[in-house]
Amino acid sequence: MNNAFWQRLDRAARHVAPFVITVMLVVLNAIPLPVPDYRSIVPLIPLMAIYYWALYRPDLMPIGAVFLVGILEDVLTGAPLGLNALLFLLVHSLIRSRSRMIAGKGFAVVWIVFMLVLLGAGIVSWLVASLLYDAPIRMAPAVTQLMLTLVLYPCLAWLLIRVQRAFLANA
Amino acid sequence: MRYRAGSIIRFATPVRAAAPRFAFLALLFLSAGMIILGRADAQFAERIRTTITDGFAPVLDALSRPAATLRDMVQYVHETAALRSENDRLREENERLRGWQQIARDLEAETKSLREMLNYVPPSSRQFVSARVISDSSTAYVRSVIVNVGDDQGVRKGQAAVDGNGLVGRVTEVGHRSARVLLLTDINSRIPIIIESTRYPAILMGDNSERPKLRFLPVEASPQPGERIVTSGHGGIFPPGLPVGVIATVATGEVRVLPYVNFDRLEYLRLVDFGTDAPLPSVTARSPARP
Repeated sequence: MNNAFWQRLDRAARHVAPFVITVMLVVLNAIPLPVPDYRSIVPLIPLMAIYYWALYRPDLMPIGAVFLVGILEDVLTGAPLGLNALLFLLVHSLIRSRSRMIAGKGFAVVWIVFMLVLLGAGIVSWLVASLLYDAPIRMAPAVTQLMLTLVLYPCLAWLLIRVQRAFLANA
Repeated sequence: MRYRAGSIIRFATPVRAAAPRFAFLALLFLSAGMIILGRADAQFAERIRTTITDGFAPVLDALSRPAATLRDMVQYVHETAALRSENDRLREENERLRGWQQIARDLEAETKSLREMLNYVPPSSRQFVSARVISDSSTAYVRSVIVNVGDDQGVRKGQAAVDGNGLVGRVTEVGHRSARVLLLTDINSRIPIIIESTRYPAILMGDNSERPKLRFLPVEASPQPGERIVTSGHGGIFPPGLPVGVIATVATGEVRVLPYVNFDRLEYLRLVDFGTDAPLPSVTARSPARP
């Protein structure tokens, strides 16, 4: 019985791993780093993680968890409350229904689809922010931020693949 | 009985299938609703924010320390390399400041005697709360930082945040042990200032760029690049005379200011309580600015 209990606990821990890792990434993303002008171009690491899990393990990232990650991102970055939650939910639902199709076609396709996702997310957040602040917001930092996010996606994907293999191979 | 159980299953299956879809739509509307509600009722969004930020403040506090240590190490290497030239520069500056010190002493004495003649009532003394930046929570859309003090330490909304160089921004959200400082470069930031030499007033408006612009400057002001900008104290929120920056560029209809503060390297801030409002609960951690 004791053994079964530990097995269940182990499985439960593995099942929440994607959520916990994503929350950790959100928090780490908010830490001040000594890079010039880092603040305006900090890559959207949480969005990368949401995309990754929707693609490869949508079963372990329920939409409730996606929502919570979005709210946390909004709070820590000072974005309009609900904006990132909305974006993450849209990305998650768009990708998870097509995950087989995208993931099966190799990394190049995964990357290109991520570029489209970024483009959509960028347009939506720029529109919402501009509407909320009653003024068009400068686009240059947002564009740099999206490019940096796109370029860095393979790095995070590589990291998350390692995590997935280590913890979730049999989960 | 068997018939009934079957009907429940027959009824429940489509419901169970629809449940995730319903949950998705519900959360989607909830997010959209929060965006709109946050705009209409700022109090509500603020309460959620401060509660969550408070919860994460210890984590952010702990995590930001290694980052700060790394920053210090990089700076140490830089400084060691430039030690000699830095030393020469400082010696020269010291010489110059000695002259200024003499002038300041003379002026202090003169001001004191003039005040005594006029029975002048000095403005209430300022108090400071020192704070560490624990989260550089800025994106392409928002410029703000989170600091590790809250209303437990006497921080209040509207207080000015300064560092060693000048004005950083204004406190916009206060939790029990964390607070958010809206940087003066943020698109929502409006700060009443004056041009120090000519005393013309204006509003410093952020636009998310590194150089906020001046609005409502009188036409006859004719600002010159290099002129110092300080807070005016209008509106009673900020103390007057906090250094803000210098005029960087003057183009037709657009005057931009280069802030004194380096926003890439915010580490410690002082939150200035000007004491214009209701009295604060007494806090031992606070110390008066003027002894």
